[in-house]
Amino acid sequence: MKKIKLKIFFVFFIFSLLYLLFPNKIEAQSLGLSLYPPLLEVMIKPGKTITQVYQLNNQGENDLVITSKILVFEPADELGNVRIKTDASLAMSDWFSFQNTDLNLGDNFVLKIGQEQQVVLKIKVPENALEDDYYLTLLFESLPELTLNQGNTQNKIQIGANLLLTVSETGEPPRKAEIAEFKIKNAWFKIGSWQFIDSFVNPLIILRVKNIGRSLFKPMGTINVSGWTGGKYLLELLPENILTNSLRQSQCFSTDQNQPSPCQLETNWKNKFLIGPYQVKVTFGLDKISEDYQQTLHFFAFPFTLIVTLLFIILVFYLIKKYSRFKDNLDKSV
Amino acid sequence: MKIKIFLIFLLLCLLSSLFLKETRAQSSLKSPNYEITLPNLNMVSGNADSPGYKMGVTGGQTAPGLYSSTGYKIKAGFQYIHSIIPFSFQIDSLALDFGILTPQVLTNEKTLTLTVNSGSAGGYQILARENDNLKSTALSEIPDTSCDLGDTCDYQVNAGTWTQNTTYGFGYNMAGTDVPTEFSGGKFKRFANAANIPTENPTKVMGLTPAEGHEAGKNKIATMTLRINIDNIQAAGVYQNILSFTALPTY
Repeated sequence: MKKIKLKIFFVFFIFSLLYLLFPNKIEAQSLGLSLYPPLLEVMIKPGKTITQVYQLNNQGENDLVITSKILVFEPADELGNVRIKTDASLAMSDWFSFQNTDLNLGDNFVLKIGQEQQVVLKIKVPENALEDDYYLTLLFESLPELTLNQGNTQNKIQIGANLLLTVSETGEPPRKAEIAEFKIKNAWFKIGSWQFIDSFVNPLIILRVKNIGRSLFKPMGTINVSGWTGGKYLLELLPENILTNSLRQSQCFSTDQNQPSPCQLETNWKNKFLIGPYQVKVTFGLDKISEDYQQTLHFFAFPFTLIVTLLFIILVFYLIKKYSRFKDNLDKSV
Repeated sequence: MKIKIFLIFLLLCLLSSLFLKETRAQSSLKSPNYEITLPNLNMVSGNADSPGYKMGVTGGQTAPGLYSSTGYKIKAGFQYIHSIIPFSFQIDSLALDFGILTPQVLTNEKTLTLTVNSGSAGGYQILARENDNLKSTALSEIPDTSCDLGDTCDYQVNAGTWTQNTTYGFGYNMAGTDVPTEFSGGKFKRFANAANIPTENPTKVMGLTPAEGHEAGKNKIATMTLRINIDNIQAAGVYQNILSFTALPTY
């Protein structure tokens, strides 16, 4: 009898342990999608057709039912983020289709765990298409699984790739830029056209470029910083897309790190300590390196923090000295 | 003797169960995405030299003057990024079951892990939105939180504290890599709600652009903590809603 009780106890114990080890099956299943390429830039003549292969992969732990759609987007900010306009109807929806024999744009399809689906997007621009830019996102969406009698939030994921489409007969759509802002962000103060910075601070240059033309472009060029001593420093602009009727804060490209970076003079033995007047000149072209657009600013570097610190130390010493004299005099008088 | 055999058998079952779980975890970490992907760019495709990287591919035409004959130019990917690691996004759960909710406590919480590989993207954002308030079949609702009275929150940029057990509703906090700064200090927000009028756009819960310091890389992980707090008079029922997470690259 005692042995049976022991057995029952162990069976109960093991089952309890197994129950705790395996959480709710639905909760444990992950959802994951990957998509390549994330960006497609197309310039095309009216009447022409192109295709592009996208690779969609299910990286989760669950078979997914996927649907696809193409939506219009607009710039969400000056940093390159997009805002999808879900409420806008796609006027040129008949331009886009899938060339896959077994799959149409908008159809539901099953993507099994680990499966990769090649989707061939066909873009057919009609002869009468308006010469303009069209900014779109190809979106793949998992459909949520309905669960009953569970108090929960169900999750679904979407992954998108952006498509920048320029319809142009000539291949040279009218492009025009405007430098909206060019300044030193971390300047202490400004007098006239001169900005003053501390010698121990690396100047961070802000460049905001506005697209006032009729097609997107990439600013390609450099920012040159030259000092009164003859020292020159070069920053390379990052060729990022600036869409029509939008502003973008331009970044630079660090060839050392092979990564985008802020347009900031790096500290090294050459330029760690800046002093005196400097000129900063930005020059760039649209989709080509040129000096079509340029602007200059000046700044003056001075060791403000060092001077202030020294003055403070002198003042403290002066006060200590004065206090000790006062104390000596007081002692003598007593 | 029999008990011993039985115990050994159970122990083996337990160990095998544990290893089975291990295998599942391995499978979720599979695919480091170094496989070569070769988008067919209208006859411009070929073999990559290295398993992880290739130069940007341009199809259609590259020399001036050819546009008139070919009629198109195509560029796939970001010009300044040479990685072909696909842009990928993963969440670790299909659904979050909060179980039976205890009223007036701040412990009705669930976490969701978001993982992004942004290798081939210039920058990215993960947006989130709910389809509606948490709703029961009898149409009772658990509204979205507006955080503590002294430090309120919304779905856009304002995050607020949620330290009082009399603050009710449904909300979330973000922590980890590339999450918006307003969540720091354990602050909460409510989800953008598609059912609200006017419709609320999905909100960024994770992501950086080059201007914000984005560096292309793998396994960027953030944790979303979702919280529900109800008062004592909340109608009984099974409450549900759907959360949509959208991963978008920059342009």
